Amino acid sequence: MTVTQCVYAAIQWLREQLETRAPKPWWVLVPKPVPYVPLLVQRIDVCIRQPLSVFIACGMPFAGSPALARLRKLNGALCRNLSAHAVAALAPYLRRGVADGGKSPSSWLPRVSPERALLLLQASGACAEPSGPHRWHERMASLLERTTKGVAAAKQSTDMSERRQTAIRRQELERLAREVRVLLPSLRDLDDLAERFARGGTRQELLEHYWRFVDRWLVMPMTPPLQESVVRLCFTSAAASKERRSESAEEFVSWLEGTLQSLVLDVPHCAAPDITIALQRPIERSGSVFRMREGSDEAHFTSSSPTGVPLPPAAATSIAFDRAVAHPWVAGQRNLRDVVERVSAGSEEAGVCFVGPPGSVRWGLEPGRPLSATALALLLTCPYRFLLERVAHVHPLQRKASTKHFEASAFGTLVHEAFAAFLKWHGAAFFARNGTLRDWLECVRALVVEHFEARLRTYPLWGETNQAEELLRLQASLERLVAAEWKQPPREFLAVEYRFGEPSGVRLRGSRTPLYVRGSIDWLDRTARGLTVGELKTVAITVAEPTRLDFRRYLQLGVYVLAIESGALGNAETVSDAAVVMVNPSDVRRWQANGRSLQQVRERTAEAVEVATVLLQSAKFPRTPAVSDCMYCPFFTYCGEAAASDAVRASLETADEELQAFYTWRGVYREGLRTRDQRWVSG
Amino acid sequence: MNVFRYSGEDQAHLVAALAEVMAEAEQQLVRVLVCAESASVSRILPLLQKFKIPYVAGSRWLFVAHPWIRLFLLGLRGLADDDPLGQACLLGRPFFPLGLEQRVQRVLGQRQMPSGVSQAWERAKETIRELRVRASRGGPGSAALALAEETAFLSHPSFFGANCETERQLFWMLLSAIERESWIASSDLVGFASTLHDWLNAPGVLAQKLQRSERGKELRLLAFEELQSGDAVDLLAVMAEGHGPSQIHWSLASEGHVRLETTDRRIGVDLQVASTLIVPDAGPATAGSISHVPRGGG
Repeated sequence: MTVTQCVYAAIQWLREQLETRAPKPWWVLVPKPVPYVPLLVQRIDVCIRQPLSVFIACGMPFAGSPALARLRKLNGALCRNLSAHAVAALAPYLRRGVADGGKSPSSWLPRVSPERALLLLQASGACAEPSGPHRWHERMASLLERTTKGVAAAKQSTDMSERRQTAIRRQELERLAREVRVLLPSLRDLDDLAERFARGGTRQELLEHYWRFVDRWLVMPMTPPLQESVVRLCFTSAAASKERRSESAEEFVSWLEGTLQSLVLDVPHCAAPDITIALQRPIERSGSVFRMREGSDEAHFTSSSPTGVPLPPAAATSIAFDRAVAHPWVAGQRNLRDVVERVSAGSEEAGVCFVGPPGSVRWGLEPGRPLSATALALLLTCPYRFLLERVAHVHPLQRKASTKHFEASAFGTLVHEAFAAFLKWHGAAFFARNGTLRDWLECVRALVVEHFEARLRTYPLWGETNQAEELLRLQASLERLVAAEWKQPPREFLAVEYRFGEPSGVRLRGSRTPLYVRGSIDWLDRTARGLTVGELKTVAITVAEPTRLDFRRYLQLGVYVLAIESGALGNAETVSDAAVVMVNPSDVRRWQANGRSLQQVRERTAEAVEVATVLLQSAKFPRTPAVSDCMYCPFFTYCGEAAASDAVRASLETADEELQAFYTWRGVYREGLRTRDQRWVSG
Repeated sequence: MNVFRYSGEDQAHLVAALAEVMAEAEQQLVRVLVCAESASVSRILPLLQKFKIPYVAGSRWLFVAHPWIRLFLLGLRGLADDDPLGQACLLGRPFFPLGLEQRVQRVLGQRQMPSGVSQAWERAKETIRELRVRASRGGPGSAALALAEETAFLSHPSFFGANCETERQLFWMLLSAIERESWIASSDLVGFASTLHDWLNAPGVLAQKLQRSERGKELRLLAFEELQSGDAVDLLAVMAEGHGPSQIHWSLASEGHVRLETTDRRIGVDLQVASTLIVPDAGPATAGSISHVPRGGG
């Protein structure tokens, strides 16, 4: 029996069902989707002149499989001249480099998400074109080269004080290189294909190149015979068309989309179809989720009747370092595979995460594992986030960078770098108030341009107008900062970006339990009163109201003060002033503490250090008791909305002394620091 | 309309009243419990399970009342691509017998890992690798089913608790929604990851896809903003919010009508209640039709 005969036999059977008003849906089983399904659906429309809804349970030959979607992504990339977003959408489906296994099953695995692919493409830097770069191989090869050099330099570095930073940087670069290297060969051919399409050509010529690329690089979830038939149909359609002139890429892609669409069945979804077309045997081992075999585990699982008498309680084991916790919930009748144990909900759901017995987390408690000042602030904001980010190394995906302006973090880094470079070269003269303000502003303007251009090598600020605007914004911030600092009395410059606690942490003096810290002080200077610690903060939109200083800000400053007084500079020295300078392009504010207010910062920081030490020693990491902390937290999706409110409840109900100490500290100092003798100075 | 009042701080009292009223009522009714804060939903759930009251959340409290949905979507996202949060979720409970403690051990050093943990970790990685191969060849629906079947996900306590019947139905509705949406969008699992991301960020969008009939034997947990003036319900219970910022105030508008208002939003809705209203003590002075639920019920 030929395919056509089969199809018409099915049509005849459907007509009989229609006449006899047989109960719906009418099931048509086909041996394989192609060519039965498209033929059947097209003939139903023609031969049975009644509106009948069809549900295709076996997957569509094209639209039901992801093949067409992937071809459309390639078409989109070619039409949009390989714009970054289009290439990023295509990247998950590009095979890895030939040297990496070719068409082996592992090469089918999507290794990179569209978001990550976009980040990789953006890492290749700025571009003068407003819409960004459109050819990628050269840029990515250059990025790979830079990265490889960076890794080599990091490996050769013998500077012990920078060892930790170097290791982190090297790991980042190695990951980047690993991801970029496997994409390079396909990007090279994609660039060639785009160049070929840009020149235009006849449909036959362009089809040759198109399918050659698809065959080599695009992971297509189609069997080779099906793909061959699709290619053959495209060529047949091109040969049959009367169009013989040279076409542009857009015209060709438009025609190709139409041709591919003709192979696609666009069947609207229907909840209660008249006809259901299914395969004689399921493709997947699990079967479609809509069809369950009678008596199967799934059928049993979905049955609306009760699952019967539960089995006796089974102890489920939660693996911890050296303890087993029994969870007495009732295990049901479902047969689980042996490959996995029955698992528990664990203590994480109760709002507190224990990662082992007390003392199992040594961060901050050993000289070899000092805690950074920023990590301390993070620990006391949300210990659970600290655990995820700093201990378990779960990092949320970086957000896509804006190509129109600098992200706040990138802008802040640039301000820090430029100001640090300014102080490094001219700090002594500037703090001694030599020269004129006009000269210093000129000097800092030139430095900003230098750093800005260096940053453009890795930041995707696309378009000359955007670049000019961002440069002005950056210059404005630095000029305001320098002008505001110029108003301060003359002093002796000591150091900039002073790193301490590396590789061996500084033990904070006065704390009952030793806590070892490290950090980087923005600058140090000496006035007639004594040593001053300076901390620079960039503020996103408006400078905060001068009423209170958030505990995260003064904590970092307080750690620097305590570290210096504990010998971070080599010998213990008393700090006389501490200042936080907050800057944005339109304003500069300076918060300064000395005398009693500085003593208050010391006392509060010492209390915070005690609380942090207790948490670290007991290895308990509760979630923040303030729901507002979750508002912009990147882990919000991971923890869920209920986690925040559960943590609040846990904070009220806990009988645990260590946790109570933390919750009490957060409750008392939630509103920040505010006393009479702290000074806010407007820039 | 019968109006029952309970002591605002005694949720057990409220649930006992609910259990009593629901036991006597017909099966196909509209039963609604209004909660203004996620904390109150978390508080009431163990009590509902204790009294064996079947419940289903509306859009706002979908992930709070049925936490496995968020975990499953995160796990599927981890399977779809290299989203770190998804992967961290996938390499842990309830999919595999691993957790943050094992992850910390791995960070500290693979050599220090106990062999059992190390083997469990390798098994999990191998299972995920196989699932990814299958996922890249099939659609998101079959990938989701495989994820649930090939891991320990279906042993999540929700599927065996007092509310197991509703949870299981929801599980299959979720799989159907994934299959249907991906089929309509013609997307594979990688393409579907953005939809998963949207659902995770806005559970209301997903809840619409899991839309069930308002009438049923379950108690529907709704947020205040999900109520609309003119809605008709058979049984309405209002949860007192303790000392939270969002308090729901009630008043009897006319015969069979109740007005609910919140303090923070300053908006109100008028609902038509057919049979029973269960409200906290704080409220208007009561008429003769109002009775008190006897304490210690259920």
